[in-house]
Amino acid sequence: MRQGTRVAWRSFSQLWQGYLMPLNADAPQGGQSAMSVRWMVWPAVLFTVLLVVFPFAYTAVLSTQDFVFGQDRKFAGLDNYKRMFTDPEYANAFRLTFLFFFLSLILQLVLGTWLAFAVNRVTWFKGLIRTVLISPFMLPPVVIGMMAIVILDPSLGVANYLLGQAGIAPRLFLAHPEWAIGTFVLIDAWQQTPFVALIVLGGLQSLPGRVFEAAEVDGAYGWRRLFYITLPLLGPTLVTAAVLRSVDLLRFFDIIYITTRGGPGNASTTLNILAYNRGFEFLDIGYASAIMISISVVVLGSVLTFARLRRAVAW
Amino acid sequence: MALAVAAGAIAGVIVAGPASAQVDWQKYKGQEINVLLNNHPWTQALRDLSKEFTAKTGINVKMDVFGEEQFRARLTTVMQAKTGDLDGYMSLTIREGFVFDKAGWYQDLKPFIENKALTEANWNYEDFGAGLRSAHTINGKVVTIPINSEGPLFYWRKDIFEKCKVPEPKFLEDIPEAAKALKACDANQGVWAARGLRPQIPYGMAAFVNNMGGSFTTSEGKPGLCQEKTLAGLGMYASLLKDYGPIGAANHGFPQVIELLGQGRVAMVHESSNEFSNIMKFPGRDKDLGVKPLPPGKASGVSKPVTIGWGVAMSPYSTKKEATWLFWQWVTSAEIQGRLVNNGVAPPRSSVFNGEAFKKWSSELPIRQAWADALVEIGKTGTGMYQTNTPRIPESRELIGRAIQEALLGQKSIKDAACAADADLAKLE
Amino acid sequence: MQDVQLRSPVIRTLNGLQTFLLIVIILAPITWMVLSSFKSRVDVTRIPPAFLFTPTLDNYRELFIRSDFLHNTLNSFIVAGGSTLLGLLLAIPAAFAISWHRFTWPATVTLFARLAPGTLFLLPWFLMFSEMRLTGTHFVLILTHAVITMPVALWTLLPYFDGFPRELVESAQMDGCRSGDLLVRIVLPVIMPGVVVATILSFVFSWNYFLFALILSGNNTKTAVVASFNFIGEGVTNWGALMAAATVIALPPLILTFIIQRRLVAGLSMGAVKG
Repeated sequence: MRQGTRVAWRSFSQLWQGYLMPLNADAPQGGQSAMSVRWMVWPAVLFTVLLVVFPFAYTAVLSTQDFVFGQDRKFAGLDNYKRMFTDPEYANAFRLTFLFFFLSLILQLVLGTWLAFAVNRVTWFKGLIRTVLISPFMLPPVVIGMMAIVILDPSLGVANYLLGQAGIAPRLFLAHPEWAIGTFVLIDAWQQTPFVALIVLGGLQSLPGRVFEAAEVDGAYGWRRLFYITLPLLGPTLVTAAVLRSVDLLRFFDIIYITTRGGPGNASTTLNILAYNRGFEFLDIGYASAIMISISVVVLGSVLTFARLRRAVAW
Repeated sequence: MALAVAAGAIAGVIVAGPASAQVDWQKYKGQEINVLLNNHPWTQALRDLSKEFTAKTGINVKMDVFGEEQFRARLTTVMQAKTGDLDGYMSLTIREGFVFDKAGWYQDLKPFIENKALTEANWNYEDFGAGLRSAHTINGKVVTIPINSEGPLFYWRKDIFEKCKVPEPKFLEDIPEAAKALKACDANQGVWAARGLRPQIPYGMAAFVNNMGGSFTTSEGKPGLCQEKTLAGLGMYASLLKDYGPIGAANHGFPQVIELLGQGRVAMVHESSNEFSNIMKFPGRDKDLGVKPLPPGKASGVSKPVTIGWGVAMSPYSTKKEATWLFWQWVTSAEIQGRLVNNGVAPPRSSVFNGEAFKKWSSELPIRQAWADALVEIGKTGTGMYQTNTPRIPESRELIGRAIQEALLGQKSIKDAACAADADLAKLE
Repeated sequence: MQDVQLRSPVIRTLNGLQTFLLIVIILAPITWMVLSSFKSRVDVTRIPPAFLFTPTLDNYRELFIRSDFLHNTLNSFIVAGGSTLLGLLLAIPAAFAISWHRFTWPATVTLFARLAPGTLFLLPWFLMFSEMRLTGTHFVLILTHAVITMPVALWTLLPYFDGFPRELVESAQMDGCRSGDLLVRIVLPVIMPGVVVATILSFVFSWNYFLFALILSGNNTKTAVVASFNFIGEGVTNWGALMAAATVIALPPLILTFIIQRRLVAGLSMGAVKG
């Protein structure tokens, strides 16, 4: 399995390089033999075009219209986008989304790496422990949201009670007018750190042993080994984990929807929540579509940025 | 002479015959109708009863029930598609009536009401008070039929007040006083809880503004949060919540407020009458609570609570309008509304309100009687308007709620928040 | 990685403590939720919290007898199962082709679904499907959830296909095996572990997803996650039932996770992707 894992890991990294840099000519071309199975991709591609690309285009069209449910629909060109750039609510949502994104990403990468090291050393009850560790991110957001509501309610929840027993003043958690987003960072970290840990674990387990042997000969162990050898070698893995998380962090919606709907006030109104509120609560479809398109652009941008980054840390 | 009497008798029989023609309830047997409903005590009660309707008419009713926010998202998406997928739905006419009517999403129900072949003679549309009927009519079209009436009521713990020797608040201005006194009496007892979520605030807060003599609009109809008396009302609500409210109030909606009251953790709330049966489920609350409309303002003498009522509407794109009408008719009939009372659904029909079943139910517990009386009163003096003059009602309420939240969280003074809100509200006109 | 650690008892205790702490942090909220589902309505939000209480099955009765939750759970199974199947049917051939020919544009195309917020798809899909009179059917839910499962399956499978020795394919081909047969008879059996991981992951992510079902499901096809919202409403909020619903919804993913956790760890660490 070790050998297989290593091979798999290397091919996977090569593949990711391929996705992240679609215009890169280094990716090896063509098949090795006369057999062509290119046609096998068509069902999946057609499916995506019909069900994904088409709605995308439709929404893009909607974003150029002044369209509010129940009122007349007019063409409005780029007005919605202009409105976006001058809307303080949009600016707030943008700020919150990125704040959430950076804090979460850093937290999850750090904790995930630490967790990976910890799990790597577990010797007994491996199966049970692993199940427990994986379970948070297999849970539905609905469940996580409901747990959060019941446990973290400042007046009704058990969290503040326990803090009180420990002598700590009650916290507002999701009701904090400025830092509600911070609680979401923690909730998402609870849920997703194990996922990051697993990716890093895979990376850890497929690092070439020779490098470590050589390092030991040179007298590098403990902290020095960690910082000068292990972490840099984990570079590509960490970037991969970062990409996988960013795509979801930037579109974070489910748990906020279930718990605070963007509140208190707009303290947790991320871009995705803003789009939902504008579209489904205020029925301002045109504007909501513009916001959704902008989210897609942001996500695309981050994926491409990480692609660059990955080239920089590749070895 | 005998011949004349006989002729008269025969004539009487002939005349009486067609005039008492019954509605053929079985005419649409075998059809299936789809209705979209909000999760509400009325809906809960209806779920069990609708089987009787099917037995009576052979019409199968598929009820799709959702929590309010999901219900709304769903409804707008479905109606926007203009298909026959949905036959009937619940609607809060006072909130969305104008927008829905403009979008053409309501079927005019007047022809159905007047159609003797479809509506029983004793269904009696006039049984719904004039005010109520006009609230459910837009531009001459009857858009919805009322199914309940509800509004925020003042619930307070009589036993806590007694223990602390604080008199029952007779006027609005007494409430902050009472809060202060209760807090001084027992620092561990919560005294007040109210909605802090922006879109939910205006419903519970409007009566504070009204009873202080203020209004959300100026006399010219423009946004008027910045007016003196309005500010007094807004300020009272905000400071009550800020000084005496529970931690995390800014995120509290009705579920949390009711939980707190039910658990005995607060002494007073101003919450929906719908929550009545829910509150009664908590041990002890049926004996120690008092309920009445929000006390009038002492200085202003005004008592103008909020009262709204849900209604049932029909989709103009439905292909089974008659069957749908039969269902709505049955559901809003005096008999059924009388039975729904047991689930804490306040009947909008005067005959039911004054009828035997309701009287029996309300006499079983003093608090039920108090609740019924409170509802009668808010039905008379209440208003369904708790935002500014604009068709963009959800946004207006959100802005009003924002002003309160900013004051609640100490981000702005109530005056600054309210006046800033006015400027934004003006843009919605 | 050769892990030559100082096997000092201090380090080992610290490691053990560390793992223990992690387990507590992860299990505590979940345990609280499951316990709460057995509490009476009043006990769920009681302060001081009810650590000791008389358990009751009322909440589950509310779910399964008074509400349609069993039906909703069944719908969740149908939708998650169906969309997993569809996702695999689309992804397996595609992954094979992508891996064999080493071209990446198809995989990049499937990235589209992950760029956009879920809400973006709701209105266009609703309009599209109501034109076709498909709203409220299991079919439409399976179709839309496949948008989630297909990319997950694809990216989970790719590394496994990549790891399959090319020479075997070539020799089979030279023996006259046609590509379809080749895939099914030769490659698939070997990468079965990957297929298992892909299946489980797809199932779980489809099961968990609520946004599409919220708008597109009908009365008969409402899934469990969507139905759980029904326990919050004016006059009808029932925290106990909510916790029970949450427990029921969490069970299948947790059970499936336990069954395949070893494979899952290996598969995920090869970089599987969450939809």
